[in-house]
This record gives sequence, structure tokens and C-alpha cells, in this order.
Amino acid sequence: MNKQPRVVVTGIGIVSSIGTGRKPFWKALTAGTSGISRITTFDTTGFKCQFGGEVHDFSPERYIEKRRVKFLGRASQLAIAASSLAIEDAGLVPDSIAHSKTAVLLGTTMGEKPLEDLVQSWVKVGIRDLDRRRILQASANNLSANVALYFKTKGQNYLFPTACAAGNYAIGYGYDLIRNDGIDYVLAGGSDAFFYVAYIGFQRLYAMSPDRCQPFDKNRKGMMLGEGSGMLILERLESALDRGADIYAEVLGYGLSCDAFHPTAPDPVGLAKSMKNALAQSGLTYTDVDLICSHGTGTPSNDKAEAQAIKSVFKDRAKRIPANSIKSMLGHCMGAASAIEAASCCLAIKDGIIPPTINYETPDPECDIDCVPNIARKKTVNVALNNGFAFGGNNSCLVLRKFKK
Amino acid sequence: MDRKRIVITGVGVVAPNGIGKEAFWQALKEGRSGIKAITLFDTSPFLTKQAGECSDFSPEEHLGSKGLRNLDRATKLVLSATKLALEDSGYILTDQNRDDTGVVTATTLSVINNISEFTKEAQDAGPQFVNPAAFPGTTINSPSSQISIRFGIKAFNSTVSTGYTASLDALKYAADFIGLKRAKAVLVAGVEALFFQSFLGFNKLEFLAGIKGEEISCPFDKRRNGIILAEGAGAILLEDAADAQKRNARIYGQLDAVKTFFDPFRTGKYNPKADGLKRAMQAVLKDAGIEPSSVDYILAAANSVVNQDAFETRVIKETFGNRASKIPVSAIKSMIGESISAAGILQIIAGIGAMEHQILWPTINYKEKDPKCDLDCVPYKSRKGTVNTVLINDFGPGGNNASALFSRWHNE
Amino acid sequence: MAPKNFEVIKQEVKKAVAAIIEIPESKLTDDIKFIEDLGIDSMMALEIVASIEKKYKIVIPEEDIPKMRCLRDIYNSLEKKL
Repeated sequence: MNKQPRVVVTGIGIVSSIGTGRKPFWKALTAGTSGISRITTFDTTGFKCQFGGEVHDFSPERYIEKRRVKFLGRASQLAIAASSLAIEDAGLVPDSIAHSKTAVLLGTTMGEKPLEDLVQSWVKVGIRDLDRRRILQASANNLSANVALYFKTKGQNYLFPTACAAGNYAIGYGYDLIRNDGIDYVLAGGSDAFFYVAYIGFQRLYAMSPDRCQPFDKNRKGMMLGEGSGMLILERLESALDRGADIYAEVLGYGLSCDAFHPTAPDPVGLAKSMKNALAQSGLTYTDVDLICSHGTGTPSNDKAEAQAIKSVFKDRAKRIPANSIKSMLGHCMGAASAIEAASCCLAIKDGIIPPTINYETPDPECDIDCVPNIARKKTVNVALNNGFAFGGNNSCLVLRKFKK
Repeated sequence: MDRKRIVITGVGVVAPNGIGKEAFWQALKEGRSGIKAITLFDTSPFLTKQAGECSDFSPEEHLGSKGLRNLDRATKLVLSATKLALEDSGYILTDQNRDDTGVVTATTLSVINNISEFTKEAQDAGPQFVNPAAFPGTTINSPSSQISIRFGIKAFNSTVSTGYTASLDALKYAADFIGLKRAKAVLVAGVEALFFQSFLGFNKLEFLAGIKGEEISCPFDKRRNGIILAEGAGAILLEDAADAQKRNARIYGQLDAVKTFFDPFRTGKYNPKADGLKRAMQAVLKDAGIEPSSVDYILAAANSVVNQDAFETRVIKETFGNRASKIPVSAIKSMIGESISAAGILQIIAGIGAMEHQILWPTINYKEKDPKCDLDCVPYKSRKGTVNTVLINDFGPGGNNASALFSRWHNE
Repeated sequence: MAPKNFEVIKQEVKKAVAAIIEIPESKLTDDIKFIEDLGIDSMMALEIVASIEKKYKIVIPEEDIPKMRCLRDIYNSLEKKL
């Protein structure tokens, strides 16, 4: 039997509220830059929260052929831009991946933005003047199809709407496909645009902070909504070595689990299981981990449950493993979150710098882990875990390791 | 990957023409259509009036009367199908096997109903007064999560939303997870519900039959001019063969291969060369290690769309050569309509029924021949046939293509 | 329009809450505790609050929600606001 190929990350593309492109993003992230600003996408009158992590300076024409832009919803635009950046970052050209051994896997929470415009039009005006183009763009599967279409890929094409964990689901399955399906390249990640429904929904659950995200802080008031896209190029190791590609990290495996508990409330046992599964799948133990990029949304319930889960998995080491949350800076980018966070793990491994959890002021005895408060930390990171926990008990944990031959 | 033998040990279905596997298969046998005048919403704004509605569906009958209040129709459909599949399989979920049991659900469009309702409430009552319990349903992973909560499934729960191929894509994902030993049993479910907004959308895109021609689902027929939209839900239990045998499970059949490919042509348009579908079919045959001559029966993706049916016919001919004219190719969407993400799972369950009963399901409403679709579509009536292997196709405009091969269980 | 008799409002509230919790109104006494006695979860609690807010066009501050432990607490809160 053939030995299964190893899987490495060779390209990173990011569109975020703190920077577009790997370099600007990483520079801003390690500097503890907040991407939270006053919301402009829609009217926030009457709501407690006026702030979010919108991407203000995104010009789709910079990354996408002009004539195609109007046929793409915002989430697709963000994803194609991030994909384009990832391909370039990997030292590839689109032609390199335009074949049947390339899989395109996307994760999302809310799907395509034209759906929201369409629904609002229907609600306010009725069915008469609905825009045909928007109807065609509305369903969520457009997101994964648009990326594959743009880059003319011919392998597997999946859309995982597993919400706040979706990026990990996509990247994880990409790892599976390279190892088991003879796939050479995977373009995997997540994308979400700023959705009014999400903004209202999280506030109606009292899960949103009025102004800033303070993961693990005693006085944390909730999450902040964000948007963006993170896309990675995963590649067979041999292929990467053959072409002398720069390798960020190796994907060692991932673990999923399901709480089977509640549509929104997290279960620490389920969260812990996903981390344990991830370690087991990767042939590691809890002593091997140097960094946990936590889900850390800043809600009272998630952070408490996650801290509990970390302590149960990592036992005596729990308080000494850095467990940062970059949602403190970006807000919660929904389907893009775990993909952007996976990218930040790769960069932490590559550069030996852990981005901080900003806005941290008061320790919480129930979250007594090392969240790398406020200032980035220089530290060698060999193994990083990336947590993504979604509504409905969709738990995921991705394992990345410094590449060694 | 350990190429375990993956078998189907349980089946549950809520289809427009039958609820439960026996009723569904009986309806297919009799050529009974589930397409009828829509009762779920007012169709007066539209030219077309029909759909494959599960009009006999009563959620309370399957799920009890409590805890359904905030669940949308799609969730109730798929929970019911899943319950039927689990009961059919005899697989009892306990604390000993929950962590070895997973679920993957195929669904894409039904969330649009929930997002619409949520937005409408925000508009009517004011956004500050929207019901918080309505929010979780606005994400597409909600039905699958509800399955995991209701039945206590803990290994993993994933959702796949690739439209027409979602069920087969979910099937592949589930089979991969069993092969990778991440679970010993995985429920594969598929669902789309019928609701106003999707009917409206398909009407506006003029993708429905009855706008440019007769309002009828007549795959392969010259009169075909669009789909009849439908709803439905199905679920199958996939298990590793060794585990299934260990618990003396009744094995319906084995999954030989499933493949999915993207064909980058143009948004919402069919590639006239149908390369993606061809690739999928050929890859399935290759992966299963069988010759085209060993395929007994094809359950087509054909859905009464001019291009879809013609292109599938051509690809079948290109793949099977001279043998193509001898392979029965049924279009069950003639009876159940086009249920997008649920189509595949309903086709799979139909395929299992065909193997169980050694019967070929009919393509009904077949009246006028089309030289571009001149295969044996088992017209008008079902008939007896040798069905040891079934090939299932799914695709649509927009690029996704998938194919799967099942065969009768060979105990080795 | 004359303001509704508060007794009428109490009946409306009882009916709405019973429908959300899915128990007969007869079982929903004024003092039976939602969480401890009836086992409702956090989502249902939010739903109850949201339905009261929507029906009577009031806003119940987040801090007050944990204090709504039974029907009587809701009645008291409503009476103050209406």
C-alpha cells in the first residue's frame, strides 16, 4: 500500500478588517491592531451594539476581473480575492491548479449576501421587482461554485455551512482528500459577509458586546460580528518540495465532535472531545502542544466552556500553554473565522510569534488560562491547535505543526 | 485509506408520493406521481401551480407533539426520515456507540425560508423584537444539528450544501469518514422543503415547467420544458460491513464508489460537453473496478430540463458505448419532481428498492420521443429486471457533478 | 382605547408562556419556577421574554431576565412597565 502523502500549507490569502494580504494582515495582527469600527453596512439605530469588524477598504476589482464582479455576491468576492492572494502567495499561478486534481472547499455561516438583499426587497416591496441576477446568486452553493469557476478547478467542490467552525471543516476535509483521494492541491477556507440577520440574531441572544470583544476577561460582554475571508493552499509535500515552495506548516490532522446538546449553548465535554480527537488523529499527546488558537468569541458561555475543556484536555499543562483569541481584534468572522485563525497558526509557527488577545483587563478565575494578554509574544511554536466551535454542537480542532522533513 | 466495505443497513424516506420505504417503493412500482397542486402556500401570483409536495406528511406522527415549535419544515422532514431509517436499521444509539456514530446532511435552499421569516419579523415587529429562537434556524447546519440532538449522535455532524449534488457529496463525505475510522456508522440524510421563496425564485428564473410549455415532469420526453420543484427527505444508515455483520444487521447493499467533480463552465449554465458528469461516471466505474457491462440499471439525474436530459443521455452513451441502449435508465423525477439537495438520497433509496425487489422503476409521463434521449427509459410502467448494480447520477447547471454505484451485498 | 384590564393581560401572558413551554395552562401556576420546576433551558427563557417584549412593546433589561423565574415575576415586571 502506498504511504499516504503528507499535507503542507504553502499559500495564505486573507481579506480582513485589519489588512488584506498575508503580510499586512500578520503585521497588524501581531501589533494587536483592532479591526472594530462603527458599522456602516446597515442601520444600527435602536441596537446596543454600533460596532463590528467590517472590511472597509475592499475593492473587488483589484483581485477579480472587472466584468465578473457584478455577478458575484460579496462573500464570493471576498473568497475569490483571498484565493487569488493565496495562490500568488504559494508561488503558483491559476493555471497550476486549473485541473481535476484540485479541490475547492469553502466554509460559511450565512452564505451569499445577495440573498439578504433579495429577502429584504421581498419583505419591503413584494415579489414584483426581484432582481434575476440576485436570485441566481442567492443560494449558498454559489460561494464554493464561484471560486471553483473563477479558477477553473475540476476536482471536488464542497460547501460546508457549519457556521463558526466551517473553515476548519473545509481545511480538514482538504487534508483528507490530499491524503486519500490523490488530490494535489486544495484551495480551502471560509468566507462571510456582514449580515444583518446575524447582527440581529446574536443581539437577540444577548451574545453581542456593545463595543469590544474581550475573550477570557472577567467582564467580557460578548462577541463582535466581523466579516472577511481566509483561504489556504494545501499541497502534497512532494509537490511542494519539487517546486521549492515555501512551507508554512504541516497539517497533521483534525478532530471533529458533536455535542448533541443544544442549538446554541456549548458543552465543554464536546469541545474537549474535538481536541482529544484531533490529537489522537495526529498521533500526538497533550504534552506536544505549544499554542492553542482558541475559538474565544468573548461570550461568557463560550470562553468558560472552552477554558474548562482546555483544562480537562491539557491537565497540568493547561495554564502554561498560550491560548490566544484573535477574535479580540477581528471580531467573529463567522465562516471565515477558523480559516483566518488557521492562517494565524501557520504564521505563528513560521515566525515564532503568537498574536495577542487584546482588550484583556481583568482575569477571570473561571478562565484561568494564559490568553497571551494584549502584547504579542515571541515563542517557538512547533505544534498549534486551532479550535472552531459552532452552534448546534459543530466542534472542530485542526492540528498544525512546524514542517520538518 | 482502509477501503472498508461500506454497506447500507437502514432506510427512511418522506417523499411526495410515499412516506416510509414500503409506501415509497410501492408508489414507484405503480408509477404513482407525487406531483400535485400546491397547498402549502398561495400560488395565485404564479403561472405554475404544481410541485412535489409531501402533502400527507404529519410531523407529529413521527416526532410527537412537543419540541417542534421552532423547527422549520425541512428539519421536521429530515428528522422524520432519520427516525424511520434508524428504526429500519435496528441500530440502537447508546452511550457505548454515540461517539462512533455520525451524521452528514445534504441541504442547501430550505434555509432561505427561515432567513425570510426572520427578516420579515424584523421588518414587521421591529428588529429589537425578533424571536431569538428563530436565529439558529437561519444557518444551514441547523437541521443536521437537530438530528444530532434528537438522536444523540456525537462522533461528528456535518452539512453539505452543494445544491443538486449535495446528497451524493454528503454520501462521499460519510463514506470517507467510515473508511478513515472516524465513525463506525454514519447517517446520510438529505432534505429540501417546499416553500414560497424557492418557488418564487425558480419561477422568476423560468426554470419551472409550465412557463414555456406544459406544466409536467416528463424527463426524456420532447415536451419537457423545465423542472417541477419538489420537497422530500431521505436518510440511510451507512456502516462498515464488518460491524454491520457483527450486529446481524440487514444489509441492503454496498456502496462501491462515489465520485464528485466540478465542471467550470458558466454560472447557471450547462456545459454542452458535460465533461464533469462524464468524468464522474467514468471515475466511479474505475474506482469500483467494474466494467461498464456490469452496470444493470441507471437512476438518472434527468429532471425534465431540455439540456439536462439530453446531455445525460449523451454522456451515458459515451461511457457505455454500444451497451448504452441495453441499460434501463429511469428518471424517477418524473414521479417525485426535482428536490435538489434531496434528489440524490431519494434516488439512492429508489436504487435500494430496485435491488430489493428486482424491479425497474418507470419514467412516467413519457409520450413524445426525443431522438436526443433515445435510451430505454422504462417508459410508462415499471417492469421486472435484473438489478445487481445501480448507477446514480446527479448534476445541474452551475458545475457540480456526482455519480455513485451501489450493488447487492456480496458476503465474502 | 381603554387600557386593558391587567387581569386580562395576565391571562394573555399565561397563555403565551404555556404555549412556549408546551404545557397545559392549568399546570402553569403563578409560582412554579420555569427553570427549577419546569426544566426550561436558556433559549426558552429568552423566547418567553421576547414574546412579552413584542406583545406589549416594552424592553426588559438584560439584567432583569434572570429575575423572571416564574409567572408572578413576569406579572410584577409588566405591571411596573405598563
